[in-house]
Amino acid sequence: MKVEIIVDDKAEDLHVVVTCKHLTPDIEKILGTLRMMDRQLTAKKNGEIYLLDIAEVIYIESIDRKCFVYTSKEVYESDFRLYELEGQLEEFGFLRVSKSFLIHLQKVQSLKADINRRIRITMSNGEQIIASRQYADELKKRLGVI
Amino acid sequence: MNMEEKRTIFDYLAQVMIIFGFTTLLLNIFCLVFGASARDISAIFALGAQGVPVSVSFQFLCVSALLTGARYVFFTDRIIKQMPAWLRCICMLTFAVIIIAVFIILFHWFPADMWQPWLMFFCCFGVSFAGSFLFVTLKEKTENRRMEEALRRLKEAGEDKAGK
Repeated sequence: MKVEIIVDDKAEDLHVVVTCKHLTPDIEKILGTLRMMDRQLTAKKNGEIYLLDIAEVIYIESIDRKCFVYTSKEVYESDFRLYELEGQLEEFGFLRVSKSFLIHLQKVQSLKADINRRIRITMSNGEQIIASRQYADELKKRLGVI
Repeated sequence: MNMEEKRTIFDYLAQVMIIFGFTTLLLNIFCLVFGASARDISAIFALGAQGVPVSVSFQFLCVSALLTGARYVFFTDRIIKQMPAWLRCICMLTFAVIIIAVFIILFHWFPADMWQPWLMFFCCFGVSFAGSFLFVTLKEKTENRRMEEALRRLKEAGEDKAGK
């Protein structure tokens, strides 16, 4: 793989060109990461690739090492692993709340403390997610309540 | 949906031992205080002020294991999502009372035909449950209020950011 970086102070915008024989899953991942800079998330549904606006995403769930992206209307699949999405989406207001859930804090409808230091999170689509003890403290820190 | 925390047998055993240790400590204190006078009517105090008999210790270990098991069942994510906290507490309390009552009758912890020990049992159980329930409820209410307020602020900050 050859990487070429041209630093040009006259460049108005970041311009990335990827030249390849054909798209591979690895290249798709690189493109997905680049698209996140534009607040877009690459996800698949029925074999088609969609560019989702990150603001539309309510939460992401990992089931059997596959990540599913939930919007208010549809469910898509992402090629990224949950820990990769966690790292990339943190700056866009996403937070890991359990072993298998990454939530968009802007899409949280309500929070309720539960017994055993867990937090019951109701998302804007009505789905309830339980923040496990180990992640509940992180959620509280992010909210600034501890 | 799989969002459960990974729990091992060691987590379970640790919880059992916490309940068992605390109960044994309390029972030994009771033995020191009431042991001599209650040795003829209760299997728990059969050794008088010398402490709790080994057989009773194992019975309490069984109760601790059963209560911890029930706690694991009533506080799984699936149950948390389907039952409000107060209902789970009532279920847990009912289960605990039934289990302890069965052990009292089976192992003659005190004579089942005497009303005074039952009254003491329900009073002690009721007071400790009511106290902890009140404490947890107040703590939860305060926490919920703070979290809702923080969430509102976070959303407002997000909207401002999006607006800019």
